[in-house]
Amino acid sequence: MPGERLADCSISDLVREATQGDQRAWREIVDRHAGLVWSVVRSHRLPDPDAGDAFQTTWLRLVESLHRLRQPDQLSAWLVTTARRECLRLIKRRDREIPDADALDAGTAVHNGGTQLLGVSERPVDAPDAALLRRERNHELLDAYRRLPARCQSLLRLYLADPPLSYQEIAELLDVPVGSVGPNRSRCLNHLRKLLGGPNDAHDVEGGR
Amino acid sequence: MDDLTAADRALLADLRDAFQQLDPPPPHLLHAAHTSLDWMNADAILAELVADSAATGAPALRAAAPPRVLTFDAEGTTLVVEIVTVARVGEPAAGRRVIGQVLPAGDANVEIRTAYGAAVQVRADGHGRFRATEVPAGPLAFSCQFDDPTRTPFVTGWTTDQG
Repeated sequence: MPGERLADCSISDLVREATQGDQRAWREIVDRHAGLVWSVVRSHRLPDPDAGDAFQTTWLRLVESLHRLRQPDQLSAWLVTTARRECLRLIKRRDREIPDADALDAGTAVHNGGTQLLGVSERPVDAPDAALLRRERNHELLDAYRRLPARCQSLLRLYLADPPLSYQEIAELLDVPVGSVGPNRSRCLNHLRKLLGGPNDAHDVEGGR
Repeated sequence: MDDLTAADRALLADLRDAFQQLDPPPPHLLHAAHTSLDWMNADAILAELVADSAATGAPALRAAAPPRVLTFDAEGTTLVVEIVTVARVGEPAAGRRVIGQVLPAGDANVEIRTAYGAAVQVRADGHGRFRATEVPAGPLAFSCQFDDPTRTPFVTGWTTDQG
């Protein structure tokens, strides 16, 4: 990897280097996947100390397993599975309720061809004074999100994971049929819109925020 | 074929923004993740936290903070640690005393790490017992390397700080 930019390295290369003790490669692995692992942990709606425990344990498990990772290119999937297992272990340990995933309406199956869930949105660069407004808006949005039913919170958090999860992965994490992911996502978004207090078309869809 | 409406897309983009801005992975957890390669050496295994008195007790009912007792399991080896916060006048939570035992017992080097790099090294005696004083506040992690080379060394994850 000498002379090569870390950002250009494949996951397999990074895993190989990290296995040999390369700290920079390890940090790059963490930085690329931290958001994903955090999304999976957050989707289980654990209290903060448990969420922190599940997050860090996932990385320690990875160090432990690094040298026998059979398919380094499947690292995302490995991390998702491991993070989920740690969350379930903590839920069991503290005897808490699991997010009510079974209550997710199976709905009617829809055809979801792609695995990429959401295109990158084209957003104009905000003017400096817009930053404060956006922050305020984000707080309102997150407040509303936290009033959603548990199953909607889990679904939306997983749906927006970065790097993204496939419908199949989301369905497995929530233990629901893959065909229910799309319809439930739409239902949850409508619910969120109601909590935000506006009619469906109140949101400026032209991107002129 | 995705069935997202334009309004759905916009709301999702906003929600993604809100998550990224207001609920990203916390910096102290990222820091712990960055240092975990350094913390776990190649032949060590990860000990699992199996019991935590802070998770089950009702400390709010007591006047003085009770000691926190943590139990870890590393494939049959048990580590029990008791953390006692030592408060002094004008210097609350000046330091902590950590008393522990590894079972089955064995002579070992035990390292107690604190969240930002400082480490305390102590010896576990023939009964597996060890003791450390003046351990700074914040999350802790433990590692144990036995004198007996046939016993597998282990490390623990960071304890979460629960006051």
